Amino acid sequence: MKTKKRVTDPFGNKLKELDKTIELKISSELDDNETVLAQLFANCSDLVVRKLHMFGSIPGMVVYLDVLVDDQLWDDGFLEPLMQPEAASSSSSSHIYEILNFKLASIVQPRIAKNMNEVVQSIVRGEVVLFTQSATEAFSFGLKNKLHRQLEEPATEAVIRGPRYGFIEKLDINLALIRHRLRTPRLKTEKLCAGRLSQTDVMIVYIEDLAEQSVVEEMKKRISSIDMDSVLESGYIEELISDHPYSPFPLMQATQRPDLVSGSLIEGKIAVLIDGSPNVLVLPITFWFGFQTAEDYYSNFIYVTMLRWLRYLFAFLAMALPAIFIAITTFHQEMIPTSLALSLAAAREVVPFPAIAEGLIMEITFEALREAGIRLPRPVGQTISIVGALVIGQAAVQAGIISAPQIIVVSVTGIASFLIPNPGMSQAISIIRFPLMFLAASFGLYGVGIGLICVLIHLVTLKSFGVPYMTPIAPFNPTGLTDTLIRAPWRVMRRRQKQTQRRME
Amino acid sequence: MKMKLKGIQVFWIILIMDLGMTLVMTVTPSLQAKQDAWISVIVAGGIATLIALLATQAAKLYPGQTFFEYSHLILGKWIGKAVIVIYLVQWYTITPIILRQFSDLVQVMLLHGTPKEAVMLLMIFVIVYANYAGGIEGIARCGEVLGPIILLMIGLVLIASTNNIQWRNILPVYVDSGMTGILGGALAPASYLGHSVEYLMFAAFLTQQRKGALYTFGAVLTSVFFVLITTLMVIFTLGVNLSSNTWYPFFEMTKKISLFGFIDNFDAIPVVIWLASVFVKFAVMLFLMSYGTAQFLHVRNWRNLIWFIAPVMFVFALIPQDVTEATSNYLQRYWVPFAMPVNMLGLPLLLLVVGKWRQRKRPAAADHA
Amino acid sequence: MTRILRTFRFLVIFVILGLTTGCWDRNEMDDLALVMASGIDLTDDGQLEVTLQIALPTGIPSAVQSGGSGKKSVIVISASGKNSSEVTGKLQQQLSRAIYFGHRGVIIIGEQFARHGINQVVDTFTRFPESRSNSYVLTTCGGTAKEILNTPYQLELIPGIGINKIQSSKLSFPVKIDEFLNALSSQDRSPVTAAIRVIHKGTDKETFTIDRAAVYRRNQLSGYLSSDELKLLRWWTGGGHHLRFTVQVEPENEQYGGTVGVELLQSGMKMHLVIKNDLPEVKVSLHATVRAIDNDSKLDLSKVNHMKRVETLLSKQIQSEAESMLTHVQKVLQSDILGIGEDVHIEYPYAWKKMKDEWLDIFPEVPVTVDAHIKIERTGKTHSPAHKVKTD
Repeated sequence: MKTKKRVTDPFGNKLKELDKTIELKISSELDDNETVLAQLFANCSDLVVRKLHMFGSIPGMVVYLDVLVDDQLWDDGFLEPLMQPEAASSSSSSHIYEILNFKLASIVQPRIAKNMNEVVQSIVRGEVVLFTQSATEAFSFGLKNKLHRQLEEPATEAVIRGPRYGFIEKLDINLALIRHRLRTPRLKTEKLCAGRLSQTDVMIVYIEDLAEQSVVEEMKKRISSIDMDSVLESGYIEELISDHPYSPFPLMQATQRPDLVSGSLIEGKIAVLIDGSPNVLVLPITFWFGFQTAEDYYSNFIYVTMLRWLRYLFAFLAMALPAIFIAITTFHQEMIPTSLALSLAAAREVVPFPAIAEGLIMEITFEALREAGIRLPRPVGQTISIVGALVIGQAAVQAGIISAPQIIVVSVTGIASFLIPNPGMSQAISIIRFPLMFLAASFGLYGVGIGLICVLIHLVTLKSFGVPYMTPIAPFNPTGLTDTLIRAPWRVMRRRQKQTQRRME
Repeated sequence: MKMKLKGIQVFWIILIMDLGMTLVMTVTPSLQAKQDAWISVIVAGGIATLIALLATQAAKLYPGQTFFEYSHLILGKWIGKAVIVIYLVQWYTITPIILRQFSDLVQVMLLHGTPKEAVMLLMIFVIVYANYAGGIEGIARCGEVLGPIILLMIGLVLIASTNNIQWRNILPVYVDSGMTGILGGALAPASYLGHSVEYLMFAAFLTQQRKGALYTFGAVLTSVFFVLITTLMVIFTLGVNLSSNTWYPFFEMTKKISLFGFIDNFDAIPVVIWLASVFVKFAVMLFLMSYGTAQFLHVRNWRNLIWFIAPVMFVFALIPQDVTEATSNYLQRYWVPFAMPVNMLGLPLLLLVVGKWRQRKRPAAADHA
Repeated sequence: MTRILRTFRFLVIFVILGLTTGCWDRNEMDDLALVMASGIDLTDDGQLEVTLQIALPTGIPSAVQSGGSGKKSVIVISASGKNSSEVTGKLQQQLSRAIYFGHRGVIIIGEQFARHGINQVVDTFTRFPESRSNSYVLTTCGGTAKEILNTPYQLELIPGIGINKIQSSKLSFPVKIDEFLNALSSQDRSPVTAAIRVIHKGTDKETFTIDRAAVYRRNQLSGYLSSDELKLLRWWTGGGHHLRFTVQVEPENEQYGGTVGVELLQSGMKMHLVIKNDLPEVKVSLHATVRAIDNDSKLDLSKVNHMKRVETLLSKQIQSEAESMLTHVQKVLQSDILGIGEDVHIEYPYAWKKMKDEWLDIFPEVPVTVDAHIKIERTGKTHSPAHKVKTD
């Protein structure tokens, strides 16, 4: 496997200096700690430092970021039990730890922070840090404000049949959604951290014995070698740990559907959950995964088989139709039926541009309209893009700038690109369309053929975490065909599941 | 990193290499047997099977090694080297010739005015990319995807041609051509179907050595079957008088297809799909040339040689003055009288016999080697 | 070393990319003159005259310009010269768009040219990569190909398409270019095409009709089959669908014409061949099942004896028609358009080897006997004419 190139950034060095200052011991004097923290958190108006006497006698200091802490928990769960008088015999930290542990049973167990670095880490994560007089350790409590939105149906992966809720931006809840479906201790979760500034939690989830352990190790290695200031979305991870970062094709599936993730885990795949992102990465995937949806497994298999072929067909059209149209109308006119050839010629009579220019103008306009539609509020966006395309198309034809057949081709291409369930796959295919059009314009169908072969070569050399991208077609694996060329009924696919179970035992 | 091939991949590679070229290039020469061309194809199939038998048996002698490695184990240093040179000459000459034929066909069928240099360069670019990015493994995977598509294309063309069939075209059997005609017509297709000799090289990459031979036979028989059916179809639909005068009877046949008054003159589509088979063939040949040359010259990274061999291929392909020189002369002066008896039959037989004899003489040494 | 390699690699890639960007063959649809039909004539001074019927896309109504019907939809141009490539060059000089033969559906050979011999141009039909093998060949019967191509046709916008559709409907006698060339290049069969001629000349109802066949001997036109003979030829060669025959079953009187008309449902031909004294002897039987489509007589077709009578009369008539056609073909035209040579070739290949070179001289001497068997299968919805007053 390839080794990842380190991403260098100008802020790196500055941050490392900052790291050094934090490598401080915790002072036994509360005031010293306060000054250090006040320095570090200068100009942070949301930092709260409160001095108090725990259990009526022991002097302590509580530090936290106001915005991140849950008020209710703070009052009832933490402050109240802490302020109750208690006959504390000594103020040694181990003793206090015991008391805290016992007293604050209603909230989480306190963790011990051994140096200033850990303290700062805890504070920025929304924990409450408690210093006590004459102790060189601090205690941190997770009183995190559970800030999250309602579970909703993911807008990009809507289904007719199937569960309605999708992942949200909170890692814990996302994990819970998976655990709800896979009730087994074999579901392993390993937490990592990425991004120097963002300190994003990244969790690798897999089922023991089903997932390839070497892939899990490789994943861990790649994620921990990420050298970035911030990791804000799963897209960062996807690009940084990919086997072939320069390929347009998605080598990981980003999904918001817990059912899809659970299903993939059972197939031995690995999921990567990223805090702050509702998109969970599933890997390794194959090319065919880009044409499957979760709903495929809930609906009638005959219908789904037809749907899949429809998707393959339209994916091909989305990629090659404009190119083929250009090739045939400018190179191989004898292939067009005579009457159609006459009407095509008639339609082109007034158009000033060559077919390739026509095609490019309309394709680019279409992509622009699509992009414009995404940014607008949903109801407006859809109307804009459809109406825009129609109006521009109609007007362009009537003005004699673009020929009507070309508009039809572009529209079919557009519809076809929406038929591909995976947005990453859809984007990849839209990008390939343009070089193919150029090849078609200079070499006709020969160029298109050459272009498609190039795409094929690229696809067969791709690997997603050791799995060849075109499996099970190349390399050929007959059992895998039951879920690619067709969607076999569950009776048949169950056999495959049994095989994986046997591997588990 | 050792490249690995699966048995089914060898099947597709040999099938595509045999089928693609034979369909297009040799139907015309075999039509010198007139309406009995199909008998010629059967004879050619027999020769091809014999070649496959020799190649697979010879490859079994030293599993895991290309024959470039074991030929001097068997034949001694100098004779072994000479044998290798003979094969290199074959590959270095046949590839440019096919490239030239291919560009000529593209010019005739698709792009009448495009210079042949452009057509060739585009193809060379693709095969260089395939070799550089994927090696034999990548090419084999391409073959696995393209193979079924090519077979499907041939199948569809044959089915669509059925309503042009004139059964009487095949009659009378035997009398018009006679034995000499039939045998003469068999030579060209046999030489093209004899590509299973390259199995001597593939065998080294196989994961399961034993099954490889079976897949090779399967590939040879399948391609013979398809060539046979196609030759019959060409005779049935075009008749002998016309098809023996055209360069590419298979595509003439597709040109005749007319369905629903809508699908007319669709010959460009089969040409483009046929392109895929040529691509696989060239890519494999380039691989063999690069890998073989690297082993011969003891170059460590065979990939570096691609960049030198590809331009050489291109320049060689420009040498022939015209089409006739490229196709007929080469085929009739070198390929059929020399390459087929020597490279495809003689040398594998020599390797097999001498190799067996040596192994029997010193079984321990052979095992060790 | 690696640096040299890398530079070399990029050099190769750049050379490839640089050399392969161009569009040598690109032709926009509106830069093509789509030839719909072409005709070849021989001028009086012995030159070749080629006429092209070219579609005018502006004259074809489309969604954008709905008022196209008033314009002309084709232009017809012609030029003459020594050979076809010279003439094509001359024609191209008259046009702003490239002449494109990819959609030519019809090739018409002028009578005078056909009589002179057609070898001169036939080669260009096959050598041209873009020409279709699905276009139909016709020969004019009187007049020139140029006249035919200038004749208007009402049902289609483009007359060339009209001819093409008539031929492809199988109601006519379609001969495709490759069948024609195949017959031309083989020794055991002679070429034949449908013959086209202009009718209602000079009036505003001027149009063309395809009701004859032009018979070639080697590469020269040797004569025409009349429309009745053409029917028999179609039957003989296996295209007998929907052919209609009328037979006189009783003498004509004031009320009835005395005829019965039938249409072929299934038809076939069996040839029996023996070699006697180095000369083939041929027995041919034409058989068909027919349905009655009109009955202009007193006969009641539901009665067995009446039906039998019609069948015998019909068989006799067809037999005599076939015999007269055979005499015409054998003695006058002397051209084996019936494929008798092909049968000899298949059934007696060794005998054929001896006679193949002088087959066209042997053919007129071959004794051929014909008989016909007709069976009336259906009589339509009525048996005797429904309007007939019942007398008994």
